Amino acid sequence: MTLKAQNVIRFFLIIIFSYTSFLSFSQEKNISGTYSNLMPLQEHYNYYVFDESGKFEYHKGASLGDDKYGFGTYEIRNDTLILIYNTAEPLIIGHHKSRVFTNKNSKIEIVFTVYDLENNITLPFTNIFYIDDKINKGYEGEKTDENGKANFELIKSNKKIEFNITLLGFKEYKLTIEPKYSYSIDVYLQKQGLGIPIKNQVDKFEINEFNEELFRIKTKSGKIETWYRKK
Amino acid sequence: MGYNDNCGDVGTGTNTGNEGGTGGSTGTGGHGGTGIPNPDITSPTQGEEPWRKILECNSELLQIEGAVTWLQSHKHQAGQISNYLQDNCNAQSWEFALQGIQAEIEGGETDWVLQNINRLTNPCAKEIFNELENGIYTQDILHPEVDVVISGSEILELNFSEYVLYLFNESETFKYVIQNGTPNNPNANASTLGATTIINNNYLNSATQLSIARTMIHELVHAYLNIRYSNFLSFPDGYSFRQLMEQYAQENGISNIQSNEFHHEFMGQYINAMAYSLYEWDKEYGTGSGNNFVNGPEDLLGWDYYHAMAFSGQFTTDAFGTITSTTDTFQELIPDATERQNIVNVILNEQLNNNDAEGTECN
Repeated sequence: MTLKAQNVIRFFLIIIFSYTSFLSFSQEKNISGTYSNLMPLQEHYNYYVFDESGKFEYHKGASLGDDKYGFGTYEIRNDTLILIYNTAEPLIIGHHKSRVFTNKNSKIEIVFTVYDLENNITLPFTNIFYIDDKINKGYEGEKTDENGKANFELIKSNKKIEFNITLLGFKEYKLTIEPKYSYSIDVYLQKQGLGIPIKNQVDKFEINEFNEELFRIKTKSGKIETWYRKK
Repeated sequence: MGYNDNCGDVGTGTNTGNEGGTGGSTGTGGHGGTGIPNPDITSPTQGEEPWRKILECNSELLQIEGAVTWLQSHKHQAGQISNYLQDNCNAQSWEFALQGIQAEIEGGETDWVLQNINRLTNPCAKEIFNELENGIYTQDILHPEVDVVISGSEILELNFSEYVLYLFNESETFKYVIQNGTPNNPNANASTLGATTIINNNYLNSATQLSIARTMIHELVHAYLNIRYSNFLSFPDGYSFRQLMEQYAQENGISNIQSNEFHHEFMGQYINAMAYSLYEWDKEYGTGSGNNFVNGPEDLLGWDYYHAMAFSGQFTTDAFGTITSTTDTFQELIPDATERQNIVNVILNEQLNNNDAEGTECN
């Protein structure tokens, strides 16, 4: 066989292969399984989990947990993967509830009670402090007792004070008070490493290749990214 | 809670630092429940038995299924727990005791002297962690990274991973817990929430011992940064260290100090310390095990190898191991892209335990 004939055959084989690949992809409407664009078992992860009913979830993070995550529905239309982030609940973040009162005393009292916002259990050993350059050590701080409580007594002032509330395993929370009133403050801390949910977002990716082991998509920057199915 | 009035301070608090990672325990079942009758807790004749002393501290023990039976059949451990609680029957110690007993029942291991809970049920991983811990309270370590004054002028010389474990051991409030299982992030090799580390079972099944040791050291640093930032009031230099972290975050445009991004960027400062800890482990228990003629890293895998292993977490790679992203720290410390890829190759060889790995299999 001449070289020219071989090239013609090769050309037609490529055309047939490309067409069947496209056809099989066009007919396939669902993906199933976990797909990642990273080698598994590193410190970092980035993956989608698709199920056949058209739902997906997405997680990106590392040792400390998710940086962000999302849940939603997906569609494969022609050669486009459409991810609709629409089912994640907005995250309840750390917050506080204050009660105030005033009187003619020269000092105010601030009573903190710290809770885990997931279950309302009080949190001992929480560090509560504010920065004060007038103090040698640069701050004033207390740890909550076994009932999650800590007290501060301050001289009345018009200058606002920012308190930091931190505890191992929880996200730091900051709040500001006006030290002309006395406060009773319930602080609800959020666990660390929960990530931020993605919601009301639609991502569309052009699919270049799709089979049982992988799919390749073109990112917005035009880069081809391969996502392998977890075995 | 049901503390005995004679047991000192009481309270209702929980050790919150260990709440983050409770999902991955893969206990192998209790050792108890083997036909030993349930205790008659009112019997006056056996009041000196360790399990009774433990019960005297807190009757909550009865609520843990199989706990009393297990303590009766494991008298050595029961004695250790009893001794631990003898002078420490308060809310914090009891919280640790409960977690420790639970861990032991599930096949883990609790060091009642050093006060660490090793929930690793994978025998190889458990041994590696114990080996990392072994250097604590010894004073014959070469080139220590950290000197700690333990009493008066007595100096304890520790490498960095030992120092981190020492901090947790000395803390009456927060204990380090390590276990194997499935982390919340099942595609990652490990997770650390607060001071609880979970090592992924799939990773333990594929990686070399050297790789597992470096992952444990890496996760210890996460726990260390967590506690140094969140509970700085517990440390004499707590505020200045916290300020350093804040300054670093500000200078590098990182808004969240408790994030993966900050930890991995900041961790660049501990690369040498982590590498040295890994070398010391490898010298005693890895490729240097049984070799009496090791004078330094060059007699084993070479400093560059341990140094390379310490860069885990500083990058992501695609499925074939090609770098797809790095921290700024990695680029600053290793400006040459080829050199960075070579470092990553070392880490992945050990992670995958392929033909180029120098560490030994974890079986």
